[in-house]
Amino acid sequence: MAEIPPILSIKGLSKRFGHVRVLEDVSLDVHVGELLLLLGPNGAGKTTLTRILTTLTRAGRGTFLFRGESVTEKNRGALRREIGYISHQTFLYAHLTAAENLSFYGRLYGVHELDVRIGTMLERVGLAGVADRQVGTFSRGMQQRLSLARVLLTDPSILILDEPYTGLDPEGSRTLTKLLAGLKTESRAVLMITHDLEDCLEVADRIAVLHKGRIALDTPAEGLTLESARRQYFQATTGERVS
Amino acid sequence: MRYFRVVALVFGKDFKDELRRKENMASSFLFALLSLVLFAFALDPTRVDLNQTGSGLLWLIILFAGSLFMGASFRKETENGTLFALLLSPCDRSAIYVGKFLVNLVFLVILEVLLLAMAFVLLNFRFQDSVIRLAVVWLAVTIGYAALGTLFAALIAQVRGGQVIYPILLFPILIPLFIAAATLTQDALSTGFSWSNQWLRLVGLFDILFFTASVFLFEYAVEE
Repeated sequence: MAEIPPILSIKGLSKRFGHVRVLEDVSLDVHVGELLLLLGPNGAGKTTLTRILTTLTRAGRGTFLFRGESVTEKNRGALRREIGYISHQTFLYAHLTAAENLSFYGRLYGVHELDVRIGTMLERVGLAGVADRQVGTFSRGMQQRLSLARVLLTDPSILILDEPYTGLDPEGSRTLTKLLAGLKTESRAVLMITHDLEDCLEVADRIAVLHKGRIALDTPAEGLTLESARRQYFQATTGERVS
Repeated sequence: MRYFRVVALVFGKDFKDELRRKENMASSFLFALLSLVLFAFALDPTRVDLNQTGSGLLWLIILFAGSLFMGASFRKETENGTLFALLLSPCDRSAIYVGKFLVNLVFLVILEVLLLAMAFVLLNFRFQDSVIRLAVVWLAVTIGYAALGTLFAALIAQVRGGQVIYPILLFPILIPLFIAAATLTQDALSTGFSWSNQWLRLVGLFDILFFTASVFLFEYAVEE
């Protein structure tokens, strides 16, 4: 994985809000074809890091590279086109139907052959039968799957998932994990931000831990069991060794 | 060309959404109707010349009812985080503003037409000037109101308790516009006014200044 140049790269990134230091000297690479799991306790700076990576907040200090080029005012639009972002919020309009939601976002991004693509995406997430139903009538799991269809519609090369499992029942979590595992095989990078190792360890390639605004751990996920991953996480966030 | 496609897209999506959710429109229309009925009962037409004082009352109703509707235009985008998704899209952000502005403008025009029609019945308005002149004045005032109302709605969208501070921030800036609106309407209902009227020029200036400023400032209003 190391030979492939990162699609997203941040080096020595810092961010302060007033006197509060939120991120300090954060360096992280995200490669195409890998799923990077970013873990961290509440207040670790995950949301701020996400907002910087999605260009919604400007970094205070450090470099932020996209495909090897520095992210500036000029190429922020190009980066936004390449990013697909899913969070615990669905980003869907409850009073529009599933198809209308996808159509709106597809047109906003200038997606070609939109109707065909909408049909394919709804099929892929198992919602083709409810395309004309208003999203407000969907269960949480259905909304999250439609949210995934929304971002895949634009075929992003970077997928950022911020706590996507929040509010999902075990069945919904399993379905989402299956869908996420399918995304890794395509030529895109996936960055998943979560508290919950259990649901996503099986699909992760690398694990990074953000703690008090710093990267406290960055390690390959290969060979890690749930228990050993938890141990490493605990050690990174508390500094204590667990036998 | 893509810019106007995004404007049309945001306008179409918002319009459809408003028609289906109904709550913002219904509360504003209901508030306006109730206010007008209350004024009609409270004011004795034998002691007060409603043709003189009624225009001010009408604009007062439009100010409050309009702010009820416009204040929600960006706040509703935070319900499921759709504002975040809009800002993340690769389009010119000012196109989002213009789309929202147009929805608010259309809504206000519908509200005003209904309100004015009811005012002729309930407040016994008598018409002295040309309808076109009155329509131009009302449209010009509404453009300024919608321009500023939409920008401030974006400003408070991500602020906790934003709906409370929305009128506090917005109304003081609107004072000159609404004084002009009430004066011009009053003139239209009595003696009439000329196209070179200074209040009319003030409204024109207000529109150009605040619409242009809002288009440029929107990006900063929605950024953290």
